[in-house]
Amino acid sequence: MDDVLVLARLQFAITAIAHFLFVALTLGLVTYLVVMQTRWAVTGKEAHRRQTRFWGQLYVINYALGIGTGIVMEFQFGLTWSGLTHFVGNVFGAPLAIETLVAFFAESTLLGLWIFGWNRMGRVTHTVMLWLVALTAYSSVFFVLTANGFLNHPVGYEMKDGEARLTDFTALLTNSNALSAAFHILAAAAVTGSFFIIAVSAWHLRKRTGHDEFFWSSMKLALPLTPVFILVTASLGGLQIGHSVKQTPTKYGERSERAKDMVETFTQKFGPDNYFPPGFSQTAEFVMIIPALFMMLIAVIGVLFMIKRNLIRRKVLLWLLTAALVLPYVSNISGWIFREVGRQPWAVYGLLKTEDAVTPGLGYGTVLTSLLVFGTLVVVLLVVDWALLLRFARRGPDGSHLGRTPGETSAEAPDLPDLPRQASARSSASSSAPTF
Amino acid sequence: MWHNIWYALLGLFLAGYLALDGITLGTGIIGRWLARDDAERHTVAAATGPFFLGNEVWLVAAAGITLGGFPGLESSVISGMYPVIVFAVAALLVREAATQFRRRVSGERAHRRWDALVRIACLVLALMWGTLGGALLGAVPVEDGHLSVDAGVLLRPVTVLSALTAVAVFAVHAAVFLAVRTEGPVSGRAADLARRLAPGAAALAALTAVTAVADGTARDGLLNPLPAVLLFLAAVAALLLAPRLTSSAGWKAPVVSAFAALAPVLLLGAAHFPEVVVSRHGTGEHVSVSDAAADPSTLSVVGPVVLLVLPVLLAFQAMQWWAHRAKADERSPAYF
Ligand code: HDD
Ligand code: HEM
Ligand code: HEM
Repeated sequence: MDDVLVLARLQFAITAIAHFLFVALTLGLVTYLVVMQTRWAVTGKEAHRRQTRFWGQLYVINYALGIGTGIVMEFQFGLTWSGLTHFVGNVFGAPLAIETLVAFFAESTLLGLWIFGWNRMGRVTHTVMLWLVALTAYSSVFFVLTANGFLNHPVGYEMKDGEARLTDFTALLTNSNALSAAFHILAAAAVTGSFFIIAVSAWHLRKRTGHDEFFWSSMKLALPLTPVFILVTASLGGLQIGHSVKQTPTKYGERSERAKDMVETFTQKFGPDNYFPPGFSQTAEFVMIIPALFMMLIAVIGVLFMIKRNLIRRKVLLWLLTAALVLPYVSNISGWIFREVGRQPWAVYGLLKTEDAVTPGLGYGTVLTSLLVFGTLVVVLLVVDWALLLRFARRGPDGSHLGRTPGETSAEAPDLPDLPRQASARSSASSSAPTF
Repeated sequence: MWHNIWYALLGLFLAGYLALDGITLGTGIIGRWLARDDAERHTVAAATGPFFLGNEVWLVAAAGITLGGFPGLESSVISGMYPVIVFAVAALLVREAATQFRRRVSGERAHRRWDALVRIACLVLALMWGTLGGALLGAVPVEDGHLSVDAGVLLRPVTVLSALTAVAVFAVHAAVFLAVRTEGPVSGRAADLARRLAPGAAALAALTAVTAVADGTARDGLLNPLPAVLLFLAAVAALLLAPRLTSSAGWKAPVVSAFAALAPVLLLGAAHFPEVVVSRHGTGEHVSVSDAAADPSTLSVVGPVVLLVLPVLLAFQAMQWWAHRAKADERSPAYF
């Protein structure tokens, strides 16, 4: 049983971390895309359109591959954590149900309309689609964290016949633990998206790929915003500590005054156990914060060198700006480990131990198989994602598949398979596609 | 009352998933036979591409409804069907990655390889959904609300036949859709294939039904035989009729074949109602809709929110179909 628990946790941890590696970039990029495309909608300038297409291509790749990891997450609650759904499903499931319908259902449909709406929808309608995609993505963070916040700090429920019942939906939706995490995460995603744009732009500028104007304008957008986003992330993180020290004191080990009282309460109610999480969760706190300092340093230096385009000639600095892309990811992963491992041994803090959340009667071989299957596949998804991201990032603005018109193929990117030769030969004929 | 509304919602999203992603699945399986060269492969991809994300997300929504509204199904069906779900989700992931890659890389051989992977993934996924439906139709080993299936349930003749039927039905459905949605030689070949496949698919379905009636445990699952039989006959009729409509009735044809694809959801629901899962350990162990459902306090608070947004969601979906109602050819945009 113990081994089953370890495997189930490992499986959840691996897939959740993989999911967040996708999600952080999705959320960060969509924010920039909204700015870029809105500028195009307002000015009608081709430069803004090109910018939206290039970064949008990378966004779409990352989004579509990220969906798979999300689906694994969704099914895992039934597969390995049915104790959790049995015990608190009445409360915990509600925000997740709303999320899938209100956020994902709309988001995926609208994203499909956006991807295929290039050259077919009016400029304004098309931009509205992207706005809606961004709004639904943000709302999904809010609802997912309502579910996750309940696990860290359960509110709005009562216990009846050994099951949690929802008593106060508003309290559930306004859980300070969830809200503070949601804002911190959105800011962290903005940092991640910024560093992605900076890293790719810096690579092109350093390699002199002939797209200086294009990537300088992306750099000019992202770099100055980055120190601001980092500051916001850090401040919101500070606020979050304020909540989480009170709500989950054992997360902070000996550093928290209240932790000992809490352990006593737990021992009285649930019997003796180790109510402190493994030590590495607190290490993770520092592994999240320290990269933030480096990110700040690099971003500020970068901004200073933007004067008179000095940056374009500083190869070392450009190289550093590309390499810095790992930093937000280190922070993101550590932040989650701090939050989730720090909650241990609880699945729902002070209510349900993780060992009781696992599906009863789950076989060792069964979980081991699913761990290997899902573990391998999410790694494959991550590799495919980054292989494609790097490929399309290197190709530069002319290699985008997104929003290509038939005639564009042969002239600018001959090796793209999307549109066959015959088609481009015939493409001078007017397109039969209706406009929308 | 609320648990029945939620149950209907679950049915709606599952049915929507089978009817719509059934097209993508079927196209993945038969696509290569219909397309002879690059331009035709492009046409096939363009026919389903715009709907790829919008179709798949019906499953995400159905899973969300289960998570929020039916914790009892999480612990019986989802954890009980562990191996089936794991393979289905794995196939979904592989399809995701391969669908991205095949349109992003160049070269004939690379295309062929990624296309083959899409095909395998679609095939596995269709087999898994068929297995799930076939297994749940009968009386299954549920005790105390916990289901644990074994090879005995998953490899019974009914289950295997039902898995094969699912593949055949999705193939027909996709062929009917492609016949209507594409132009040129692909359309003609698809109509042809649909006409040739439909009788075989119907025969497989009939064989599954006969086996189900002959097999005691499967028969025990039919608490309401009459509506189940009527739905089955209607589905078979739809399957045989749809290919004949492709040339004359336009978009009505895939709507008819969609009924055949989604019928298993209606059939399962009707055959078991008011139970969801039928236990082979006696009436007392059945899992009913209200047993499986979340507490009324949850359903009545979240339910109105869901019903309120439902029209908006369906409107977005309708918009997507309206935007791409024109026939696809080798010049249509095909991102996926
Ligand atoms: C770019 C990413 C990034 C950066 C720069 C920071 N964080 Fe963070 N942090 C996250 C990314 C993140 C995260 C991955 O998004 C987490 C995981 C779960 C969550 O709520 O956000 C997180 C969690 C998280 C928690 C969760 C504790 C809990 O609820 O259990 C706290 C207290 C902080 N952070 C505090 C900070 C502080 C004081 C920072 C100051 C520099 C900081 N974070 C920078
Ligand atoms: C709504 C969002 C989330 C929910 C509801 C959630 C819930 C859970 C549950 C039920 C477990 C298993 C039980 C446990 O060990 O406590 C878990 C473990 C874990 N999760 Fe989350 N999680 C969420 C998001 C994430 C994300 C996005 C990440 C990482 C990027 C993450 C990282 C982890 C890790 C590392 C563990 C393993 C902790 C351990 O060692 O037990 N979680 N989470
Ligand atoms: C228990 C935890 C979680 C579950 C069950 C879950 C489920 C899912 C599912 C099913 C999808 C695919 C949706 C689609 O078809 O479009 C998805 C995508 C997404 N999720 Fe999660 N998720 C979890 C945690 C999180 C967290 C913690 C965040 C953010 C903080 C998040 C943000 C997103 C976003 C932005 C997407 C869409 C973009 C992408 O694919 O990268 N999710 N998730």
